[in-house]
Amino acid sequence: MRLAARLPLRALFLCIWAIVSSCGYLRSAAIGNLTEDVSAASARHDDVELVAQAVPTFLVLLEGLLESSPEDDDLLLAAAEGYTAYAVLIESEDASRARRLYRRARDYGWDGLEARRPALKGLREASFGEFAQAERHLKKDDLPWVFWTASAWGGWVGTNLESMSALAQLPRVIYMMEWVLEHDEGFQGGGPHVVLGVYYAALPRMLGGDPERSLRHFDRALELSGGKDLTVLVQKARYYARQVFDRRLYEELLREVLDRPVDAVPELTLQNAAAQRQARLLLDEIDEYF
Amino acid sequence: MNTSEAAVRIRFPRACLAVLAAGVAVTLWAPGPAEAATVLKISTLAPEGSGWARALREMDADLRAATDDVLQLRIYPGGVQGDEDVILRKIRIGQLQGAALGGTGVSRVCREVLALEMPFLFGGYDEIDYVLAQTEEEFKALFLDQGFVLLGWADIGFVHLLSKDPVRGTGDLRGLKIWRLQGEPITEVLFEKAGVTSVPLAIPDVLLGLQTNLVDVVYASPAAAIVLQWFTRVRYYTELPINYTLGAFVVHRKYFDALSAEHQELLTQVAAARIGEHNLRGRGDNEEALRIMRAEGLQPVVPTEADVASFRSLVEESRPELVGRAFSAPVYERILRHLADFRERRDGG
Repeated sequence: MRLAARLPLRALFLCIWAIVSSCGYLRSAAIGNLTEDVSAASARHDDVELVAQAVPTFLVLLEGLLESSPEDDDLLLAAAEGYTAYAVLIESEDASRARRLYRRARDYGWDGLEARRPALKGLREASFGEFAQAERHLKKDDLPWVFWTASAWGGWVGTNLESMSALAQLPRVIYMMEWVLEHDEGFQGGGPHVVLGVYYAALPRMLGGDPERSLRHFDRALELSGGKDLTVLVQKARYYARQVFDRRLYEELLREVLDRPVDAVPELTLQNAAAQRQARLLLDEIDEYF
Repeated sequence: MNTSEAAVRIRFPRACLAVLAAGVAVTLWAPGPAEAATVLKISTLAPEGSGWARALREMDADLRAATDDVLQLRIYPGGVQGDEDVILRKIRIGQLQGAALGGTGVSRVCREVLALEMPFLFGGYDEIDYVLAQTEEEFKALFLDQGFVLLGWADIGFVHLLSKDPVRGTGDLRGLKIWRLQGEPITEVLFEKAGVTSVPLAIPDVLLGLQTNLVDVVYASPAAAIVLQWFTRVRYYTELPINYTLGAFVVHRKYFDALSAEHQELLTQVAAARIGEHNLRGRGDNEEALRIMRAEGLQPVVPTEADVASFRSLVEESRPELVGRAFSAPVYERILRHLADFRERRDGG
């Protein structure tokens, strides 16, 4: 179907987790020098396709390492980040595959949390009331695990919006992101702000959305990242500008993304190249939204 | 709602294109490279990716496939065009051509819809399906009087009570603070009759109201209780379907009339088919939502017969103040007659 190819039919109301995450694993997967070197090199790469094709190899390697150390929390974190990143990259082409990968990522992230804090065991399936006690067991250095687990979980919900049981998990995702925000709002260049900015813009006011709150989160993320992370601009256009139906703002933000160099910050090169690719796509589709 | 697959896939002769291309003064022209297309702009509060948005996307794909892209929908999901009052205003001034409306919007277009939403009217989906089919023409005419073509009812589901303390019968409501949807006439009368404290709030304020103990009791379809996250702030739900609620897909008659007869027919059939499928999914969602609420630790409260009677008699007492005021008596009476016919045939035969 021609339409399906052009329109983001499942637009990821929480697709968050968007490119923000697409390079995350590249930054923190600290498993030996090779991994670190690969990560660093990839992050500085400007060819998104090439890296996207290389990621699965890396993930299979990680799985192999996990086979012998299934409770290694660093490995589990790397797997959560890696699968989330890859799911984000492929989501627009194959949402149902992305959904499965997000779920896998979420499970790795949560296993990592449980490995660090055994008291969390069983909480994931518990009622929301019990789940919301999680903060009593969390410490500040659990933050990367919480962020990536919530990112993957949110990606899973966002690619699963027709499922009641997926929607019912959303409060858990938001609870975890609020926790991250409270403990380190600057994590991943304001990552939790971007996620919450998307969340509050993706829903109509009637269903709990809050455009003003969304704008505050996006602007704070821009401040925290010094405007160098182009994905924040893309997400602000895609979610906030669309929700408030501001075509001019949408266009301005995306043009700004295209006008900026991708390699101003070497570690953000890949991420920004992906952001530009998406900005081009979103500009092409402008008449579908406004 | 029994549109055959074949009907949906009809391809119209090229001649239709010419008619359309010549005559559609009021519709919008897409800047596509091929021949000019008729684009109906449709808005909804349902977020992208949700069941309602999916049904609209499917309709659009069906229409394009059947007309070589000449008839299209452009869908604005997630309330980007504003809330339902704003959407209706934009339709009236021609910025939009139609909407997939929820309960609030539907009763704004046609208040007689409230007659279908009276508490304890329907006992199950078999009754609903029968009555909606029997009253279809009447409601189409009522919508047309308001300037809208009704292209399909969308199921929202049966409203249930959700509460912080168990609510078995009306007696349990005393002393509790009960939420009431701002500006909604039926609950206003009911709660006043029951002599309970009701707190009028708009839907977006209810979650916070529950968090801050401003309200103890709310009501919603199970699926809505999940989507709105209210289930995270209550401990009980009452196992008593109170009233059925519904939404609708409508297009303003001005734009519908401007379509060729073939396109009108196509749109009507495509909408019926896709909304029919959506409704079946929606009914499953509500059952699933109840299961989830139990899994989330909400306790089902089962009312005794006397408790149910207490709710029913409250509705009886309120009836004179609703029928003929909130909605017109003849419409309501015809609904009751169809319902009686159905029950007689079902139970007698």
